[in-house]
This record gives sequence, C-alpha cells and structure tokens, in this order.
Amino acid sequence: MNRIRRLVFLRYSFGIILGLFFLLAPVFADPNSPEKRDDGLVVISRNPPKGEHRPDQYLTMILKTGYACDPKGKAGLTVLTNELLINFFNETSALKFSYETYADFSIFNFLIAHGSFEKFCVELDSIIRMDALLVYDLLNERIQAHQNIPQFPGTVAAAQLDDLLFGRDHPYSQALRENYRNLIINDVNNWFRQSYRPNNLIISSSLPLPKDFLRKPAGRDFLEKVSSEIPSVQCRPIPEVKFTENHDQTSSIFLGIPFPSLKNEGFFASILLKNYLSEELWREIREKEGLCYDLQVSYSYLPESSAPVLRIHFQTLPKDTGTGIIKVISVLKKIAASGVPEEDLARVFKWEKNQVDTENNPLLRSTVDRALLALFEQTWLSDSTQYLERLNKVTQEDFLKILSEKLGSLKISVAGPAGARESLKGIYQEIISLRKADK
Amino acid sequence: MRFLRLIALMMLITVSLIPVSSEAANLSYQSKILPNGIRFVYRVLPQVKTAAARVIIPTGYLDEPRQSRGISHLLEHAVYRGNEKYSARDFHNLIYDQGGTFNGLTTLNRTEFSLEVPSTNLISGLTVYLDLILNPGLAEPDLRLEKNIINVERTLSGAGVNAFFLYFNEITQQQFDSSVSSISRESLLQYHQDHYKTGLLTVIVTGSFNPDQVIKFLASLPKNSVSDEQSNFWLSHENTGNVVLNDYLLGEKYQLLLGYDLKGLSEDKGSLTVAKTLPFILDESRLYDYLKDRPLDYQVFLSRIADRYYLVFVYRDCREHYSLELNNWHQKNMQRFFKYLKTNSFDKFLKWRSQSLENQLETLEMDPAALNMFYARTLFEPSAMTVEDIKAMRSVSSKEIKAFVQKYLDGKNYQKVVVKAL
Repeated sequence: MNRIRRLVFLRYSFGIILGLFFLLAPVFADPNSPEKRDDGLVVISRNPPKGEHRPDQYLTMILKTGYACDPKGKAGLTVLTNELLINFFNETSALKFSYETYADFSIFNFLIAHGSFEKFCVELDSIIRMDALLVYDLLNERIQAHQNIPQFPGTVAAAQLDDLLFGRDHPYSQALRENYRNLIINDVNNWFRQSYRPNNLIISSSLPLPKDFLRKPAGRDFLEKVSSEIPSVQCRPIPEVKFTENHDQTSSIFLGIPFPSLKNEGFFASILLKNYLSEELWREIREKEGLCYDLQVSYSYLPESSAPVLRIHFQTLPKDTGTGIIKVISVLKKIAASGVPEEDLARVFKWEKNQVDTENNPLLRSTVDRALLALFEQTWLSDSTQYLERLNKVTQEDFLKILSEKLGSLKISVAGPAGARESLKGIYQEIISLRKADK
Repeated sequence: MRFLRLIALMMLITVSLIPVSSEAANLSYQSKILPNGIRFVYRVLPQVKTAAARVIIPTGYLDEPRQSRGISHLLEHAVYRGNEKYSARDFHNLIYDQGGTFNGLTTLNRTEFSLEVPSTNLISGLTVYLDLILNPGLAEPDLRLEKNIINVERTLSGAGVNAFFLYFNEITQQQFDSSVSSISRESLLQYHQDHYKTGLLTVIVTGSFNPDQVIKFLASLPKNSVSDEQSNFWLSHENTGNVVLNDYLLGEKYQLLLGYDLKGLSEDKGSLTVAKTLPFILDESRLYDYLKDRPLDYQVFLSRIADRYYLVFVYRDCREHYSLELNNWHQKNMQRFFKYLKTNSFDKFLKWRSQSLENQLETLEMDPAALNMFYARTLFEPSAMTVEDIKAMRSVSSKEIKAFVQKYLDGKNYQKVVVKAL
C-alpha cells in the first residue's frame, strides 16, 4: 500500500512540475528569440520591465520582398506598392515612420505614442488585411511623379556599375531601371495580395502585440507561401571600366568591389575596412589633393544582402577623373599589400564602439536589430557585446585575405563630359597591374 | 442612497466630458547673453548620451562685398584646414575618435559650424572648434585646395542649378555669383576680422551636458568689439521682369520658378501664420490636370530675404521642353491653386496637420542634433514654422486664407525665372 501511495505521489508531483514548467516557460524564455506562428508570421516582442514609464514605443515590420523580387518586365513594382501603402500608414496613429525598399526585403520602422500602441496595431492589422489597394488616382500620381525624376549622371554611373557587378539582367541591376509606365493598378493589387501575407512578414515590437494581430479572417489567401528566388550573381573576376559621356560639368565616379555577406566570416573585417577607407580616402583625395567635395564609402550588406558591394563614390572636375581613380586604387593596393596600420585599426574599432555606447535611442535600435536577427538568424545582430567582440577579433590577415580575393574584381564606372575620357587613359596601367596581381 | 448614486453619476459624466489633452511639445530653450557678447542658447536633455553644438556667425551670401562673392563660403571651408595650434587632422581625429560628427554650412544670412559628440567630450570638442573658428590659419596652399573643392561643389549634380537661388540671384543682381578664385588671403583675413566676433556669435547647445561648464568656457573667450556694420546687401525691388537662362540641367528639360513678392506681410503679423500654412495646404492638395495627365507637383515654400517675404512655386520638368503652351499651363495652374485656396475648407486638415506636426516636434527631444537645427532655424529664419505657429495653425480659418489670397496673390505680378537645359 505504501508503495502504491508513493507511486501515485510521484506521478502527481511529476504532473505538477510539468504543468509548472509549461506555465512558467514564457517567463524564462529568451526575449530575443523570434517566435514563428502557425500562420508563418515571425514575431519578436519585448516584454517591458514592470514599472517602466516611457512615452515612446516602436514597431519594425520587415516584408521579405524587395525590388529584386519584382517580376520580369515589372521593375518598380515593389517600390510602387510600398509607396502606396505609405499613404495608409500616414493615416495611422504612428507619430513618425521611415521605410526602405532594399533588394531582398523592405523595412518599415514606426514610432508610436505609448498610449496609442494597441490602436496602431489594430490599424496596421487592417491595412495588411486589405483585399486591395483601391487607390487608382494615387497610383497614377506616383507613376507620373516617377516619370518626372531626372536621370542624373550619378544615376547613370551607378546603374552602369550595377551592370558590371551583377550583370545587366540580374534583378539587382533593376534598382535604377524601373519603368513605371509598365505598371497598372492590377499589377499593384496582385503584388500587394501576394506579398503582404503573415508568412512573408516579420514584426518586432517594443511591446507585446495584441493576441489577435493578423488572426482575423482576411478576404484573400493568407496561407500560400510567398516565394522569391533571386538568382546568384555572376560577377566576372576581372577588373573592368566603363565610361559614358554625358553633358555635365563634373565626372561622377563609382568604384565597386563584391564584398562578403553578413553571414560570411569576412563580414567583420569588411565593416572595419569600410570605415578605414572612408577616412583614408577622404584624407588622400579631398584633404591632400582637393579633388572632390564629397566622398562616400558604403557597404551594402543590408540593401543587397545576397551580394553586398563595397562602393566608393565621388565627383571631380573632368581633368581630375583619372587622378582621383588612381588615388583610390593605390590606397586599395596598399591595404592589399600591408593591411591597415594598427593605430588606424584601433581608431576605427573605437569609432564602432562609440556608436554603440552613445546610442541615444537604444529601444528603437534594439527593435530594429531584433527584426534583422529574425531575418538573418545571426545572434550578434541584437547583441552589441557580441558584435564588438567579433570586431575586436579581426586581424590583418583578414584584411589581406578579403582584398587579395576581391580586388581583382574591381569595377569602375564613370559618367562625365568628353574631357573626362581623356583623363581616364592614365588608369589603364593600374587596371592591368590589378589583373597581373590577380594572376 | 439614491442621492449618492446620482452624485456619483454626475461626477462620472463630468469626468468623461473633460477633454483629454495631449501634452504639447515643450521645446522651450534657455538663452543668455554673456559678458563677451556671445548669445548662448541651450536646452538640457538628461535622457540622451550626446550633446550637439552649433556656432552661428550671422553673415552669409547676402553680406558679401560684390568683389568677393563666395567669401563666406570659402571662409567656412578654410576653418577646417586648421591653424598653428591644431591641424586639420587634429580636429578631425579628436571628433572621430569620440564617435562624433561635425559639419559646416553657409546660407543667405549666416554661417554655421555644427558638432555632435558624447556628452563627456563637449568641452574639449568646443574648445578646439572655437579656436579654429576664431583663429583660422588660412594658409595659402590650403586656400588653393579649398577653392578647387568649392568649384566642384558648385557644379555638383542637382546643386549646380537651383531655380530658387537663380531667382534670388536675379533680384539681388547676381549676389550669388562666385568669384572665389580671385579672393586673396588678405581679403579673407579682413572679412574674418570684420564678422567673426564673439559679440556677434550665437552658440546653441542641446543634449546632455552641464550648462554652467559651457557658460564658463564661452565666457572665457576674448571679447571683440562690434562696430556698426553696413550690410553690403541691397535688394532691387523694382526688377520684376521675367528671366530666361540656360544652364546645365541634369536630366531635366527646364526648371521654372514663379515668385510672389508678398509686399507688406512683414507688417501684417496676423497674416504671417496664414502664409506659413499655405505650403502645407498646397503640398497636400494633390491637384491633378487630367487633360494633360500631370500632377501639379510644384515645390511651394515661403522665403524671406531682407525685410520681404516671397511665396515661391518651383516646377521641374523632365519630359517636355519649355514652350509658350507650357508657359500658359503654368499660369493657369497658379489660378487653379488660388481658386483651390479660396473655395475649399481646410479646418479639419489644419487641425490634423497641426497635431501631426506637434507629434513630430515631441520626437525632437530624443535627438539633440535635430533639436539643435530646429532652434537654429527658429532663431534665424523668420519664415520657419515655430512651435507657436504650429499651435496657431489649427485656428487658421478658411475665411482668413481666402482674404490672404485676395490681398497678396490674386491678380498680382510675379517674378518668373525659366532655366532651360543647355
């Protein structure tokens, strides 16, 4: 009898413990862990600490569709659809919002007053569940507005660079080649219905979402999986130059090198390299030589996440075009040969650390970072300590490895007047030396 | 018991009728004139980690001597080249190593030097910055380089041609033409001595910092005497002829500007808020010409130059070359706008817009640099929207808008500038 009672006691204890475990599991669950719902929506919400009083809350929505997902012949569709949705977002209780349409995804960030958070979620829910965007007039207006955007020489040079890096027909080259005249309201509505589904969205919020968020029935299919296969990029592993003559007073110059993606080992070295190049090229080209007014170095690991590029862009007087480009190549070659000076490496690392330490709006930052974590599944995206640790482990060998592998694929694109073409003659020796080094 | 229930019900009804007012944005700043004449404007934001500073010299393009046009811009650039004490690299590294940023700007009536750094580094950053600003080296080789850089800057895509500047260039008789290449070091030095005086400086600081420390530092700067200066600027009011120019227009066929001189608005304070709301109304109007299949997407803004206000409409066209037909179309569009303003009710829109602008202003308290820029505009640009203007916007009536259009716009002459692509 005692033995039976003991067994019963153990069985019930076990049941209670198991019950307690499931009850309390959410309390101990990792708040940074995305939760994938049965409808495919990925949610990552913060549970605010008890007693927290703050006037501002944030929500980031990632749509896993970007401009590179546009169907063939319909370049501009994602950009246009997002622009039309912005008009609906303008009418919500969000205080402010921003958005970007990147190649592989689109990201929307909302600032909401604390007291309006639930109301905003209801508004966002009803926008996403719309059957169609009944905005014919607005569509027409947007198409007309796009027709009236001038094609600056900078745009021509940038598009030319994309052709060299990605290939003319690759979806990544379509960013600057939208033809809005091809798009009609049916295209936009079909695209909206197809893209804006729970299984194609990630929501990160600084407060828990309402339980019925995107649960109410929609008048359209919410279950079919959205597929957006982007073909891989075939970049020719040789240095190339392209020049387009245009009617301008300055030369627009772009240099591009395919760089590691953020899931790649070389990513952290690439971040530091980009920061170092920003400083060094500014020093060499603007400060020492007075050749340009503005010089931008960018690393597109988010905008072109499948095939990021390190881009260097500046403008010079036509006669200085070749000189400017040669300066850039010589800096790159110097790094490829001997790395980044230790003092400068410490400086660019310290700059990154300062960005983390002096973030004025950590709640906004963490909301965005958690959304990116859910998209890319890299824990360092929402853990600044981890991020800085990984940056701190970068060595000279990492820089040498990246540039020895990638510099041979350097692409140069110039749009400028006839005088610039003359000035370019001097760079061909440099290009040939890159090819020889590559061999 | 029934009586108590009645009291409770009445209280409930009363409480529910009290309007829930949203806390309006509190963007007030403190302002002090220090013994050396520096005007120190500041707002402490204890919740942030950085401090933004802006040093403003009240001299810009409109103050330049005719023979040295572009001198204030050249001086702004030259400041960053360093002096005997601090090289260009010293300042750059000081700010960069702290994770900070800096920038300079020259505009019609002022030159600005801005900075944002972690709070603990504000004094060290300001110390070096002000030393460079008040004691620039102006070495000849540096000036040569900066002149070349300014030449590139002026011809940049989109910045090289701006109908707005061309308009003001016309009414100021080419005040914005540049003669930077011929400016000597001596004239630059003299211009600096005449205008970069502590008695004329405004320093704006926002963010997390100790105001007493900043006051102590600023007050320690030497006092420079300020003389009664005559502005070199003069405005030709009588030049209302139309202007046709040719210039590099990148990707555009032409740019058109129509500028209405709002004579008398400076004295008519009551109408100024009405004038400031017009760009918001017209921006949201989304008027469309269905015959021509074109939106009326003009850029509309209110501008002030000297003592006069101008309502400016700018149109950029990438599709058609300028023609008489288009000229007539633009004239008709102005009539469309005025009719729209006179015949519609904007009460609801203005209430909504005012509230949304107030909401946006609230977010400035989280961003020291943005708040700093807001204060600079409020202090130096009479045509900018202030907190008071945003509040007053919600009570601007359609009757007032109609009266404004009839008084200042309808049937009035405008200055037309057409820039055709070369």
